[in-house]
Amino acid sequence: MFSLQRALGQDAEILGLLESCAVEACESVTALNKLVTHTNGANLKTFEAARKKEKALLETLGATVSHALVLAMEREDIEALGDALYRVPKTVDNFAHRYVICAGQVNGVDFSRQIGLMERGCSTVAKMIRGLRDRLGIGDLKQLNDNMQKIENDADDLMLEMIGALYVPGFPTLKAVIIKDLVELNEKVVDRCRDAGNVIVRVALKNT
Amino acid sequence: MFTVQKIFSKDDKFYELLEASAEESRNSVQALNRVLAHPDKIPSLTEFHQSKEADKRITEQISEALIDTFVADLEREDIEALSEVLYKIPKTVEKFAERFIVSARIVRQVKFNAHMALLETATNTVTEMVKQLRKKPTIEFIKGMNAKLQKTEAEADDLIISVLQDLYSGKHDGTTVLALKDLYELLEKVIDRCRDAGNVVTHIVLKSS
Repeated sequence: MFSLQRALGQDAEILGLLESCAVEACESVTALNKLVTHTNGANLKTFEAARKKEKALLETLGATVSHALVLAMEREDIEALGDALYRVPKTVDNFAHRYVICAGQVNGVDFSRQIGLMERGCSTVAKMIRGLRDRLGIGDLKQLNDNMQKIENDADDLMLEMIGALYVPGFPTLKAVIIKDLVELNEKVVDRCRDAGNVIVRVALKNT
Repeated sequence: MFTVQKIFSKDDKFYELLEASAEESRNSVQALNRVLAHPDKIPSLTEFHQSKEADKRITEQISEALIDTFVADLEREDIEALSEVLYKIPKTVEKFAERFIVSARIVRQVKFNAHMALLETATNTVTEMVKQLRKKPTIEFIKGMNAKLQKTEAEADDLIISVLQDLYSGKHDGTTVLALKDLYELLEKVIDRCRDAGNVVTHIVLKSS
């Protein structure tokens, strides 16, 4: 196989690994939805497993990138994308652990709208990575990234609304501290999806 | 690499600066340990500030040297990434010390021993890993050291969940919860930065393996 083919082959392998990272991120958010809605099938082991799987994917990605001679994508872009994707199940795992230890204190708090935005963020990233692999036009990728920015703005507004509700005189302080912590963790997940979307557009622009 | 390049390369200088930076990180954690061992004395920020400033000067020296020095073994962006993440260790330790001082009235009697033990392990491992760089270790060896660091980081994650469980139990008043949560999270951040440094060192060794 001549070198250009070899280089393109390694890019395909890397995009495949990044796509698996995005799928893993989506699954961890789905599991989180089950945890907060008390649906059977999600426990802390699910999140730890997702995080470990994502870490293993990231290590494979790191090794593949380090030993690749020529790549269409720049190494730092691949690393930034892998890092942003890894932080999704990691933050979800953090949320899950904290949620479990204080479930009694946050009973009745509705996280479903935040989780809905997290799910949309993760699936948009997965779509964008598939788009990169299938050489989708820059216009289409930018459109997907615009959707991502909208999701991130909605997540910011929602966080503000949820935190604003805590700053009502008389609201129990401890409960406010706990809810604020959890709400901020969920918002971080959407931020990481936004970071991933920005890197994908950057990669596409460089290769236009 | 041909000989002329080797003659003009200044790798030793970078290894020395990076090792000095890692040592400053370790010094800052040792200083914090001394402060927390005597909670009745009002700690002074001077020692932490000196450590952070010393590390800042090293980081600046590295940045300046990168502009006009030829490096053979290490890549510029790796040197920058490692020096940046090493600097964040004493910086976060100083931040912890500042917050500890302002909330001393509430948190003085709290034992941070478990966190400090993990911090010492993490900074010792990072310093050792950075020192290994000039010896051109095998990837298996450095991965072994990094696994130790990852284990320390995982233990720190478990520890913060257990302290939060106590803080969220309703036994403590809101202000204490706020102050302690802030401090515990800063200590966890220091260990996260050590983990980041370990990952950069592993990445450097992996590239040259």
